[in-house]
Order: sequence, then structure tokens, then C-alpha cells
Amino acid sequence: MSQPLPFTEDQRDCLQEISNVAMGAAGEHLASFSKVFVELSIPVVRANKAEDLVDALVSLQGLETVSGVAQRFEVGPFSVGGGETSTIVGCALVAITESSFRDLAQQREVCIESDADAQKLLMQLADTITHVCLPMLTEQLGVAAPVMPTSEVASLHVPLAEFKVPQIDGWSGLTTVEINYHLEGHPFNCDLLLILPDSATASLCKALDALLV
Amino acid sequence: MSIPLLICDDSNMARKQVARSLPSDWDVDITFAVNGAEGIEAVRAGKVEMVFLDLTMPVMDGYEVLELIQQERLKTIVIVISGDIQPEARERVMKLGALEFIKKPINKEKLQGVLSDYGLL
Repeated sequence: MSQPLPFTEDQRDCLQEISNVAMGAAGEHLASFSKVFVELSIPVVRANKAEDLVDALVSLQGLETVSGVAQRFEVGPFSVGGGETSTIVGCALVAITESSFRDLAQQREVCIESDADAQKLLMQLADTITHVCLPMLTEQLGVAAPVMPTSEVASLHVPLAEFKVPQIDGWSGLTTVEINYHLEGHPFNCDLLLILPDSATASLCKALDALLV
Repeated sequence: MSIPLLICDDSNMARKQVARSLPSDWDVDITFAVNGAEGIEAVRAGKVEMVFLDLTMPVMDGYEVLELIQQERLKTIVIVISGDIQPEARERVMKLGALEFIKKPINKEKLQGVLSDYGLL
């Protein structure tokens, strides 16, 4: 179940628009990586409970098994007033359906014979998207590029209902930005989900307000 | 005489960014549209000399707007302003008759550079 957003309409619109610009920049890299024109959609901002995270992967609902790679990242410093600053921690999840994954392997001309092969391609896909999208997002927010440790597999070949993201364990309320990528003429369906815990909301709102002045 | 302009983007912030990036000495009459369907209606009404057009929008996207402008031979200058920076996106909109493609986020320098390049300042 979707929760009420912790943003004003202007803040939501601003987050959606800067996500749109960031997803476009990452889309260009995905197009080079997959050798296909990428169809972009409109990013969707939602509030979710952590236990309902898969509800945020709207574009992947009703499909087959899904694999995902997640990266916790740290962004900041955000000014929080009174000369104080804070950093926020978020998680970037790249989730892809089984048939999309096979399609991508074909496009990349790689053989997937083991889970290790699958993980390698998943990591490459995730890095292709997140290493452009996140810095583009923070650049627009006027903060330094995010510190991003290596991606880790969240779930591999599981039905969406069983999809888990251990990287967000301990978080309760979440803001998610769903960014869906399609490859033109291909059965490719992949989501980048930016996940922010409730603890990040206040800093994020301040940064969005600064853009809205 | 003020110049009739259309700013067509689903984001309120993006529409404001375009409006703020216009040359400050321009006397303009701006129409805002929140999707391509609203945008094409404004163009069909015949009072739009220049369109600043986003690509990824609900209801009707920017490509469809360009196709309709071309099919219906509507007289207006279209400058695409989009976050979709794939070289192929630029090629496609230029083939569909756009004057130029500007990468988001827009600012005064980028917009005035393009307007100046095409002798529109």
C-alpha cells in the first residue's frame, strides 16, 4: 500500500524532474551498453513501508522472476540550517526480469552459464545506470557526488513476491523513485529504484526547496 | 508586439526554468501546457510562434507533437528541451522538424546560445 508522500506537490515535482534529468543521462549510457535505443518513462515518486518495497517496482509486477543488485550510497553534506550539515544514506536498486536479462546477455554477446556469470552482468548493468544517474542527481541538488561502494546482489532469480533487499534492513518508512527503462523493440524491462529512508526526508526537502527558490 | 510562446513540459519546475531562461528583454506572451495534447491544441489555435518542447510527457509525448506539427504543416518554431540525451533522440527530433535540441537542465546561457545561433535574438 502506498503511503502519503512526505513532500509538498512542488517538492515532489522537483524530485521527479531532477530524477528525469538523471535518468536521461543514465539512459544514454544504457543505450551504449545495450546497443539499443532506450525508451524513457516518467519517474514515479512514492512513499512505501519497507516491507512493501516490491509494490514500488510497479513496472515489474505480474512478470516472471526478477534479479536485483543494490548499492547503499552516502550523499552530502546537505545544509540543515544553523551552519549544521548532514549526510544521508540511500540505496540504489537495479531490478530486472529474467527475460530482460537473457535479452541483455544476447545484446552484450555474453554467455550466462553460472550464477557468477549472471552476477557479473548484473553488476555491469547496475554500474552503467547508477554511476551516471546518482552523480547527475546530486549535481542538481548542489552536493558532492555520492560515495558508492561496490554493488551487491540483493536477490537472484526469485519471484517478485519473494524479492528481498538486505541492503535496506532496519529501514521502516521509505521514499522511492521508480525509474523504468525499456529498450526499443526488445522485451527489456528494468527498474532503477532509488530508495531513501525516512531519516533522509528532512535534508532532502531542504535541498529541494533550495532548487525551488 | 509581444512574442507568443508555448512552454510544453509536464513538470512545473521545468516550465518555470524555461520561462526564467528566456532573454529578459523579450516581450513575451507565454502559454503553458502540461502534456503534448494540450501543447498541440495551443499550436493548432495558431497563436504560437515558438514552442519549447519536452519529450517524455504523459498523454502525448514530444515526438508525437512534432509528428502532428509536421503532418498538419503548422507554422511554428520548435526547440526541444529534454533530459533524453541519447544522440539518437536528437537525430529523431531534428528529422521531425525541430530547430534545435537543448539538454536539460536548461539555463539562460544554453537557451540564449541557441537563440543567438539561429538569429532569433
